[in-house]
Amino acid sequence: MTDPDFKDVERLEALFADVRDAEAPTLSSDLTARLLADAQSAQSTPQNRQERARWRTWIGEIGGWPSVGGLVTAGIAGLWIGIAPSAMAEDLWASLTGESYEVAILSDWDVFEVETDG
Amino acid sequence: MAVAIAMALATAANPGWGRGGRLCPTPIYPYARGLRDVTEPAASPDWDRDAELLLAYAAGDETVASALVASLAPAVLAQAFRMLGDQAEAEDVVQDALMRLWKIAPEWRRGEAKVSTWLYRVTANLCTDRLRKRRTVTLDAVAEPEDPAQSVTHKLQDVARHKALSEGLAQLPERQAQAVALRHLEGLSNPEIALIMGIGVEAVESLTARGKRALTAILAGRKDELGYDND
Repeated sequence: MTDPDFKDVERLEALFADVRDAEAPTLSSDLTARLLADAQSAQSTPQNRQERARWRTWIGEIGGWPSVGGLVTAGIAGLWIGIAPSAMAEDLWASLTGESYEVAILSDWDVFEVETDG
Repeated sequence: MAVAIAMALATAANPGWGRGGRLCPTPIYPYARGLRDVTEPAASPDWDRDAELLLAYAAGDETVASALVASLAPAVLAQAFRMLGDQAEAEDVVQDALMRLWKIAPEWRRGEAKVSTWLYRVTANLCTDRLRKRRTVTLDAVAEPEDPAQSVTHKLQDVARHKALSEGLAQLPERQAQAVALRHLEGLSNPEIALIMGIGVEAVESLTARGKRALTAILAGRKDELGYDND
């Protein structure tokens, strides 16, 4: 983009000043009434506030949102390891106990019912 | 992957963790944190009366909404009008912005961003959304702003100029349009804009400079319409 002409810059500055100094519309009584009606409809009920306060207290007690994030991470990681354990985890278990386990969570579960009787 | 999912869940659960997006109730700017300590006396210059009223509203006080409307709505209306050049659209923006405020009230945390700062950001975003939609319709199809005193020539000229500026802003990238409007129409300083937009001062300077250069080029093609050379 080429540098704008000095006159063009001056014109833009004048335009900014005009719009900045222009009289802004005032808040009409109709708009005020709509805003207050919105405020009333959006205000939460005492029950909602109690519920929210209970959650906030619980989250605070376990250490705040970072702890919730940690819990979720640990949960998902645990679930993932349970579904698809790495060979290393199986080998470690076998070397500690001398036994090896195989847990099949889904093998007997015919999710899409593709097996037909007989 | 699990970490990414957990972070996404935690961010969704608490929008205050976001990068300061559109609906972020308490934008996490480095500057905004600790703007006011909770223990500061009410007379402190950083004390935010609107935030106290908003907390009272969230706690169920039905009487404070009118005080909040009286305190906040005129400034939102003026900002939206300056950016859009259309009173009806500006009024819609006021209603949208305050509805977001009412909804976010229960999550508001005392001592972080000021309500007015948050509203500057929401209003700027709502206005650029509308400006972007205007790009998809032909400029001539945009309604002529209402003018109560059309008989006065210079008033008509003012309306035409305001419309031209608004259409020029609509052609800029959103962030540039916001930075230019906050700097040159709202008269805010670069650090204030940085706080509102959740970016650094240097980024504001860059956005403003590029936006202004582009706007100058856009409006250079409409200089006869602007009529400054005849004044």
